Amino acid sequence: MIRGFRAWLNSMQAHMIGFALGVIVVITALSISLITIAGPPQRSPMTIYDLSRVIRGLEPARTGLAQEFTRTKASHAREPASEVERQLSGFLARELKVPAADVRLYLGNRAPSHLAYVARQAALYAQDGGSSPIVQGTLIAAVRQADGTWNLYVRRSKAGFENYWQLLRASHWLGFLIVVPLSMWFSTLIARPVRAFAAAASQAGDGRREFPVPVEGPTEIRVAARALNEMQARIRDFVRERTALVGAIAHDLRTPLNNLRFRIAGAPDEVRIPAEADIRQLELLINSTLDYVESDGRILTIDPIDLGSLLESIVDDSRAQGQVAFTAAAPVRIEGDILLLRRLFANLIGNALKYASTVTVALAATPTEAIVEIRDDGPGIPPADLARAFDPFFRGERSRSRTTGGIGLGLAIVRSVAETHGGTVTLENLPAGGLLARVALPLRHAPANEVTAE
Amino acid sequence: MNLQAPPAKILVVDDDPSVRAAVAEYLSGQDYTVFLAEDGEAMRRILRDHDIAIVLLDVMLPGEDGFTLARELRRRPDIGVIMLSARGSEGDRVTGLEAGADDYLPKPASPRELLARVRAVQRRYGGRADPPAAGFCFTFDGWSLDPVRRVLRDPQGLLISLSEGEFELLLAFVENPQAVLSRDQLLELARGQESEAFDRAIDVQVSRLRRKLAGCLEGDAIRTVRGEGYLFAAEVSRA
Repeated sequence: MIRGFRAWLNSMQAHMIGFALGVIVVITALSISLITIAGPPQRSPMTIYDLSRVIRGLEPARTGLAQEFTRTKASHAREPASEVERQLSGFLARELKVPAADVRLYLGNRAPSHLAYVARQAALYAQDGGSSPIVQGTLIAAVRQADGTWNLYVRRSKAGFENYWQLLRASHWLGFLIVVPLSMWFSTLIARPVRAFAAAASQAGDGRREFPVPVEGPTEIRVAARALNEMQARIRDFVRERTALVGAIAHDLRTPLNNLRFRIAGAPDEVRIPAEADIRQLELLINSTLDYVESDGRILTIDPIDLGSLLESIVDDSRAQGQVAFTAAAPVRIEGDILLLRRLFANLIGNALKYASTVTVALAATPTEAIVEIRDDGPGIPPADLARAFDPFFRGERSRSRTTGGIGLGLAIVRSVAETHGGTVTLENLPAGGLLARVALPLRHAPANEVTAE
Repeated sequence: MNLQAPPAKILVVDDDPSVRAAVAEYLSGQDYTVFLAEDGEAMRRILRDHDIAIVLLDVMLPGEDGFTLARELRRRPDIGVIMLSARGSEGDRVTGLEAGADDYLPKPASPRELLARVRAVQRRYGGRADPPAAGFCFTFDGWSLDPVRRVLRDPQGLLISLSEGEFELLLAFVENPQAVLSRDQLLELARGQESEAFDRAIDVQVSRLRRKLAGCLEGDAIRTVRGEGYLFAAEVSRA
């Protein structure tokens, strides 16, 4: 239950919900703090009549209005500065039923639009005898007493932010500015494991090698990674089974083939010689199949190897099959399995000699890799076949004839051996004709199946 | 081979009756007396009763496998062992030879090749008193040559590859160290190992071998003896 909840908390769904809630909270907090810090002006409108009731000590229509006022005394009150204030003072004096000279009304600093509105009320109401326009915000009413002092009624209201609505509108854009980078950051956070997973999954192989996808990140990705790893294991098992089956069949063919050889040993030449040729053909097929099975599943014996002498000895042993030359820029030593590497290069050189009359083998090295290039002057490989040439059991057009054709495992062995050594092999047709096989092997042996951090 | 002697007795140990029949028929036709056994038990019974010269041994047998039986046969200095197996990988060959077999032939074997190997093993047991070359290396001046794995190592452990011809030539040298060998003798010794690739001029092979052994005895491992042939100057021991 708890585990399930934890797993859910770690899921992308939960992250998304969390993010949506987070955005709402951020935007709301922003609006609330804007309202709190820079709120609208406190207007609290009241009529002049209400104001006269407050001054007379009567209850105004709006409860609490009287409490907004403070009373003080002053010995002097200046003349109102503006025409509006003078008019309003007149209205208030009329409501208080005292001479106009005994009343002063001052307005606080208001926005010009507001003052214009008050002036308009005063002008209109004065015309048709009305006397109670609405005033807002900070104001001070002064009433002269019998002793010549003035009673002041002061209401202070918060000036606020006059352009408050513009601010609110701007706050949406501000929110936008905060939320956009936030969501970019968050989506990267969510996408990173997905991207890592996709990268790992795209490497996940063809069953020859496994690329375990790291089980990390959100729950959904973990589930998918586990499923992918299991699938890879199943594919690997399947390929191994298939390879083992092919190997077993090839292996079991050897005993009857052996007997056949002995049984025809006494046959007349015209039967024995072609039959022996057929048997040899079969034997070659069986051997290359078993070589492939072995190169695929062999446990490596890693030794330091003088690569130049390896290539030279293969070239020497191949001279009976054609014109083949070897050049080396410098001695190169690598770490690897000598039997497998011998098979790799013997296959490539033998292959070249099958189709070409002249073959050159060149050895060079970079600081980290040994590079072996095998060039021939043969017909090359049709471009359409280049990509598949390394696939097991793939036989290109050029190897279909019985005299030259194997069963399409020679290059599969080459690739398999190169990859188990952490190297690569590529084929390309030379512009001047012929084929170039290029093998790159790391100088130091690094197990190919090791999972690296990246 | 001594033609006056009675035909040599060969024991074929294989659990597959078709193999026993086919091999027996062929070898009988080549004037050998052939005995048949289907497992280790039957093999021991026949060895008790008959003076067997060579045992042809399969690897995959019910009960004890061919490698085990080869190890047991190694204690009999008078019996040659050739393994004839459908398991033809390099690893199997090495295991078989290290177990003490004199030779290892993968199935399907060519009858004539089998005959040649049988004769070679017979020669070895008829002529020399040496134990067969199995499971050891020749060492000289820090270098080592493993005749079973066909691998040459320099004093730093670096594997130096030899072509077939170079290998057979070096084997002839290390088996006959500090002795002058004529070109004909070398050709004969190297061919005696059934090498098919040994058709290049000896002098070319020797110069190639010298280059590969450049660090051995400061490059003076193979000396030319004017008018006579070559001499392998290093002291060779078997380890």
